[in-house]
Amino acid sequence: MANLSGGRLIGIVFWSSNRIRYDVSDIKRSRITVIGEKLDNHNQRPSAVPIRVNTCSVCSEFGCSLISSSRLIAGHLPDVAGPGRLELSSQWGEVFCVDWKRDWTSLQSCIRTSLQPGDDGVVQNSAAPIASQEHTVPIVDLELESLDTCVTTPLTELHRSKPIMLGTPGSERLQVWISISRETFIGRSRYELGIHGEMMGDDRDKRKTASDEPISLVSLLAELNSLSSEEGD
Amino acid sequence: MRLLNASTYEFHVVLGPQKPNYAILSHTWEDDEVLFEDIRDTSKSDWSARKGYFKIKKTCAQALQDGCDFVWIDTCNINKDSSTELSEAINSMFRWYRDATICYAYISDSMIGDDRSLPQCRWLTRGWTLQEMIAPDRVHFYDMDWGFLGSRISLARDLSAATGIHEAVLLRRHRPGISQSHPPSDPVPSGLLVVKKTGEDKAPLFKTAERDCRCCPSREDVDVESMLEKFSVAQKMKWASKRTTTREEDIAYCLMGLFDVNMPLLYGEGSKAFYRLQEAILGTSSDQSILAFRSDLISSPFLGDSPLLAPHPKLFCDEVHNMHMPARGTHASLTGTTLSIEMLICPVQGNGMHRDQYLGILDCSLDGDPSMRPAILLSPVHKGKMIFRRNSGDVKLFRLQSSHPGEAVLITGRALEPKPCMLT
Repeated sequence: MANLSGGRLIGIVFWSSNRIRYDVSDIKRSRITVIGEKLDNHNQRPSAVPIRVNTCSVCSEFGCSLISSSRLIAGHLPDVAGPGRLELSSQWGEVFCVDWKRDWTSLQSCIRTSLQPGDDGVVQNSAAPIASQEHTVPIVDLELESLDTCVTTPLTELHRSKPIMLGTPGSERLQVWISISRETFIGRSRYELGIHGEMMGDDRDKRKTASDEPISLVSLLAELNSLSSEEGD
Repeated sequence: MRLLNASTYEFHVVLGPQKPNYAILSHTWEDDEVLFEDIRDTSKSDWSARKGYFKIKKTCAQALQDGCDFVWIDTCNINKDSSTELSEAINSMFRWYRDATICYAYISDSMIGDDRSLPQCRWLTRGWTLQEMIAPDRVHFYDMDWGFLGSRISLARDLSAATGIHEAVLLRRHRPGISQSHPPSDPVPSGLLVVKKTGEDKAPLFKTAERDCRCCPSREDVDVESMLEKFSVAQKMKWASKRTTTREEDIAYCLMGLFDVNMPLLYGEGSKAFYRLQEAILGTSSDQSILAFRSDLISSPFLGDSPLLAPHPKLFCDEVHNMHMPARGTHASLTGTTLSIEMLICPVQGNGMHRDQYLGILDCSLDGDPSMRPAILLSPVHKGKMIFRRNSGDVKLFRLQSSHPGEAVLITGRALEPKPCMLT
C-alpha cells in the first residue's frame, strides 16, 4: 500500500498473520510418511483410549447419585468420542457437574474437563464463588503407543483441579475436585477421571475426607434450605 | 466398440484396435434422447419423432459429408443395461474420442452470431465434455441449429478463456499418419469388423477430408498423450475444478482418460471414486502437485479428517507445475491411507499457531516460475520416523519465494496474495 504525498512516497509495511517463518538452511530432502484417513471412512480410526470414571469415594461415602450422559460400563466410559457430562447429586438435590469433551483427530485425543456447580440456587446461596475450571490433559499420541512401545507405567496423576466448595460458610461444607490420571500397560493407556469429595468443618483444620468418618449432608442442606427460606421471607 | 452406420442407422460391432473412420458426437444430455434400445428394438419411424433425433440425424449427415461412414454417440451406442458394456465404454471413452476422425461438439444453447453464448454454454460446464474437447484431433462446433461455429483451433482463444485450459492443448493437431484408423487402401483384417457388413468396405475419404479441413491448421503437431504429459496433475485437476456431473462418481470416472488410468466402476461409492482415481494416479506418477490443493474456497463438508488426498477437483485452485525429475527415482507409494514420498521438509520457526509443524515443499512451481514453490503444512506424528499428517479441517497451501527466503505466505483466494512491500 503506498501513497504519493507532496512528492514523497509514503510506505506502509503490509504484514499478514498468514506468514510463517522458516530457515532455508533447515530444508532437507527426506523420505517421509504422510498418513491420512479416507473420506467418510470413520471405521478406520484407532480405538479410543478408555476412560475410567472413579466416583467411588463421593458416591459411597457421601451418598451421591450419579447420572452420566454416556453409559458407564463397570465404571468405564469405553469409547468417549464426543462431549459428555456427569452429574453428581446428593439425595437432597445438591448437584455438581463434570463436563468433558474429547478432541478427536485421526491419531490424537485429549480430555478437557470442567468442574462447576450445577445447581445455581445452591451456589448463589453459598459464599463460594461460582467456579469453573478447565484443564486439558496433555495430548497423547495413541498411534505411537499402540505401534511400537511396550511401556508399562503405574497410574500417575496428570492433573488435580482446584477444589470447589459447596455449602454455606459457617457450617460444614463439601469440597469437591477432580483428578485425571493415566496408566499405561504394555503400551496401551487408559485414563482415570476421578471425582473426589471432602467435608470441611467450621474449623479449617478439621478435614474429613471420604475415607474418614462419613459426614451426613442432611444438616448441611437443611441449613441451606433454612437460609433459602429466610431469604425468601 | 459399437458404431452406428451413418447411412442405414444400423449397429456395427468393432473388435480389436483397428477401426473404420468414424465421427463422434460430444453433447450434453437433454430430455427425450434416442437411446440404444430405441434403435435396437423399434423402427426408425418410432424414434425419429424424438427430440434427440435431431442431433443424431445431423451427426450422421455431417459424418457422411466428412468422409466417415460410421458415428458414435453416447446416447444410443451404449447398452447401459449392461454394466460390463458401460464399464468398458467409460474406460475406453477417451481413446474412442481420441481415435475418431472428427468430433462434433453440438452446443444446443448457442447460436451463431451470439458471441457470449459459447463461453457461457452448458457444454463447457460438464465433466464428461472435458475429455471430449481435448482427446480428439479435430473438434468442430455446431450451434443449436447445426450451424458451424468454428473448430477447436479457430475458437481456441475463447475456449481457453472460458475453461482455463491452455491454448496449446486446444491448438494441438495430430497428423493422421499415425492414427489408429486404418488408411483407405488397407484391407480390413478379417474378424475385426463383425456383425454386419454394410458400408465397411467403402473406402473412407479420410485423407481427402483431412486435407480439405482448412479450419484446423495447427502449429502443434503432437498427439494428445504427449501434449497432456506436459501438464501437471494439479493443472488437469484445475481444468475439471469448475465442472459438474450428474452422478457424484462421474467427476472421477470422467477424468480417467486425462490421467491415463483405468479403474473399475463402482456406482454407489460416492466421493470414494475420486480418492480411488488419485490412488490410481499415484500408482503411475510421481507428480507431487497432486498434493497441491487447498480448502479455503470450498465449504467444509468436502473435507474429511486429515485429508491425505483431495476430496474433489475443486480444491485445485492454483497453477502448479510439476518440476519432478524422474531420474531421481523418488516415486511415491500409497498403501491404504499411508503415503510414502520423498519430499523437501523444513520445520516452521516461531511460537505462532504453526509451532512444531513442518513445511513440505513440493517439487513443483507456481505459475511455472521455479522461484516460487508451493508447500503444504505437515504436523509431525513421529519426528524420528518422519511420520506426518496434514491438518484436518482446513487444508492450506503456502508459497515460498526466492525474493523472500525464510518466509512462507499463505495462498488464499483465486489469486496469489500480494507480496509484502516496504516503500520509502
